Amino acid sequence: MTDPASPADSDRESLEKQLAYYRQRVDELAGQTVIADSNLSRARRELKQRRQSLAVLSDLHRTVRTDMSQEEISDRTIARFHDDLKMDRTVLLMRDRETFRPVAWRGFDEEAEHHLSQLSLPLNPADTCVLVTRATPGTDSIQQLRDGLSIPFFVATDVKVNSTVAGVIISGRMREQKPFFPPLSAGDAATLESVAGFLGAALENARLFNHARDMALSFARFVPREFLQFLNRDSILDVQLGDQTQQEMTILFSDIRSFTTISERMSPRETFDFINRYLRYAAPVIQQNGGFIDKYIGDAIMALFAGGPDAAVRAGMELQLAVSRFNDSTAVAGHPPIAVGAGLHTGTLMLGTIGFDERMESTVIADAVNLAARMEGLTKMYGASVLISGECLELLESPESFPHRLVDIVRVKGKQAPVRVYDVFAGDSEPRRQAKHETSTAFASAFQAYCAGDFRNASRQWRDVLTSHRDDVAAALLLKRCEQFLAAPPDDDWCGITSLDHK
Amino acid sequence: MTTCVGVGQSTNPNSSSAGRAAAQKALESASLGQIDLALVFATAKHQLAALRDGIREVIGPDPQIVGGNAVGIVTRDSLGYDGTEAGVALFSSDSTVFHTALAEELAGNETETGARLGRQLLSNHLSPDDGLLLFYDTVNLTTDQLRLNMATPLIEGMSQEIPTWPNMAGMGLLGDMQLQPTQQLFGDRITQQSAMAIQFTGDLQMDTVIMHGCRPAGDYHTITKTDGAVVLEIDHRPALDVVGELLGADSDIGWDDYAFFVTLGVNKGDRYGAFREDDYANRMCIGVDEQRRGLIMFENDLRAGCDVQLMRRSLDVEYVGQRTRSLLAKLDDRKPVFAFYIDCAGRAAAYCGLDEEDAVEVQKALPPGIPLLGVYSGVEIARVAGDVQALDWTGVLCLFSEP
Repeated sequence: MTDPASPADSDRESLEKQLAYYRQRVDELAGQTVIADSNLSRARRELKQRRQSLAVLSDLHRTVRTDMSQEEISDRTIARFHDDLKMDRTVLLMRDRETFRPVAWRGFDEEAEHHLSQLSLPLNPADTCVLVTRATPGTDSIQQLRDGLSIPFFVATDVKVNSTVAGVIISGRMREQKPFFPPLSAGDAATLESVAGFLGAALENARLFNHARDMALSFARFVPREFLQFLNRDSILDVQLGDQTQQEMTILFSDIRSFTTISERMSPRETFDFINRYLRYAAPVIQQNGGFIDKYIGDAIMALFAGGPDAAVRAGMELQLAVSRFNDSTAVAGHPPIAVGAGLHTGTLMLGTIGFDERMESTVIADAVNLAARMEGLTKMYGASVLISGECLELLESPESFPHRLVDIVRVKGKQAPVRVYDVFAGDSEPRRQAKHETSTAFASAFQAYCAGDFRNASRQWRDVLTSHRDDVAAALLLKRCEQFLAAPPDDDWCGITSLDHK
Repeated sequence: MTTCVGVGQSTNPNSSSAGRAAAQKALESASLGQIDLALVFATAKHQLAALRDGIREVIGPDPQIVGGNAVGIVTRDSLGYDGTEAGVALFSSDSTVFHTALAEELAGNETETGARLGRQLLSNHLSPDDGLLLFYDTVNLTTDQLRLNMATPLIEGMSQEIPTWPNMAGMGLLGDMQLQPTQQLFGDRITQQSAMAIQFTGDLQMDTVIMHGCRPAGDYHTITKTDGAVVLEIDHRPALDVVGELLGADSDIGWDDYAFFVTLGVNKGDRYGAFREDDYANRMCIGVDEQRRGLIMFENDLRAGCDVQLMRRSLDVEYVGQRTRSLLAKLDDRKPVFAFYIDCAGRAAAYCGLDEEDAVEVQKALPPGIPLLGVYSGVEIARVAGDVQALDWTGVLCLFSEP
């Protein structure tokens, strides 16, 4: 018969049971704690990845500018991702018809770079969003990427521009060995997707920016930038019908003398080409002197200069040099030389837009414009290359820089106020300039006598001028006028003003 | 005079320039007299011969040089790894003698090599009052297959000859995380598959503290069967089954995840006493033997009869600073002259996924004026409850002081 258990045995048994119970609970708790540590560690890693992803995007937003080239945007973007996520190799492939070609890369040695630059991969966009680790089953497309790019473990995602797959970014590592070279994760893929989204948007923004800039440059060729500035508009898109501004400006009109006769000998196409060739010489003179061309009227140029008239007058003189260079260039082909006259006047203008909403035009409205045009029209009559009005001369800061002579006082058709007409001969050919300079005193004295009604004296002096300078057209004109007045004296109230009834 | 140590580092990719620069910085950082010893470490990206030559240009032909590859370097104001880091500590002393010893042919021969090294040290009159630093080549690429040289048999071999160990610390040299061939520097020789030791005899005293941040999470379990570094059975049951149950059947941690995650700790102190980090030797699982349902451990020192506990690792590094300060407190009136930090490369933030570098806590905790040289290692060695032990996932801080 077995003895019943003693109280001590019973206690020991109870204690052993308790001990076993607590040991089991401790072990359960141990496992849970270790698992919890592991989960916490994983959560921290994921959080770190998220923070890193945000930091990458934040930096890209800060440093990538819309005015960068597409190459620079691509390069900076993949460099940022590659460096921050410590990838071994990263490549951006962009669609080129039916294939994708590498356009930017990081981490490839010289030999691999050479191979990369020759690469063309016919990728299926459906296969381009992947995470490939050691555990990933190899498919044909994955193997194609592995072989082509020599990146065994990678994340890949497409780059969409305007909802269309325009490229693929592939980035990865050469080793995968836990724990020191952990496999790429969904977090890495998510970061790459965010970066690819940024890249797509940045490339599209850059394209739009470049397009807008090209458009603005194109518009500027038709509507001068200076015009917009005067209207206080940043862009042609901001211009409204009726925008206008009042400015004091100097107007320069230039025209090729007897162009109608010249063009009669040319076909329309030849005329077109001729004008464009001439304007390539003439037009830059305006810009170089701070003016802008308001319009071309056939072979004529109407240009505007803000500020004082000195730059405009200088432009008129330099225009003669440009014409001379043009004549040299066309002489080779046997073309006869052309002559260009320029007329300038300074006055108050209204610049603005006229028309209606769907068809507008910039315009300049002012009496001063007409007068400048009349000045130009008078250049042939006085044998001058540059004629400026008295108002223009008075506003010159350095009139002594522009040798000139008063050739007439006229009242043009439609205007009451007389206008002094000055020949700025500094732009004439050397012999003519020299001759006008030598006879300037005599010319001025003769004109003074003429205005005083002493036609006999004036005639004598102009004859002297013509003796020295036979080709002085203005002197010949005024001599003839004096002779006419000697034969038929003007009214008593005549004071030297000649009315020009023609336009 | 006393012992003076200067520390310098460089990241110059040119090895000769790096050696020259690091040595020059070390020279300029302290008032060194005649240099007795140069402790030199550099990553596998450096040519050690050129590095040595650059150092010799600064220190001359006489001082002893001992060192080799490390994954990274830490000083008072720098920390870097996996790049072109190189670090130099120059020792100058009139109160301490530095003996060096070298034993080669380590590969597959750890015990016998350890015994030879031990005999050399005894021939230099190694005493329990000395300090000892031990370095050996971790990477064995002498066969077709990559293997790691084991610290446990090396220590066992040395123990056969050394009756009483002095205070010691050591490391398995590793040049990078790609496990490239590792080199050692001994004098002007460049060697491989070697074990080296520096013996400090004199006033210079070395105190150590181990830091692993691991705490026991559960009950004791007994290892009942092993095969080399593979733990086959725990409590007479397949090791993988036991660990699986401990982690919980419904956890999402599979066998594939056990490597570098499961850590078993051996308590060398009071079994049921208050937890003491110094008493624990941790052994990390580096793989699983699925066929035999066993755990492959980093070293082969877990034998049948050994009681182990599942350990949990701290996710923060604050304990490193606390342990450093506790070591400093132990010095009492002794004057610290140099700190040497042997840090497991796996503890580097880039590799373990932590946000902070544990070595930064050492930098912060050390008072100004104590030069620091830290190295990232493959294996750490220190005394755990009196026993010389190979350690995993551990930082060993060695504080050198004198009266």
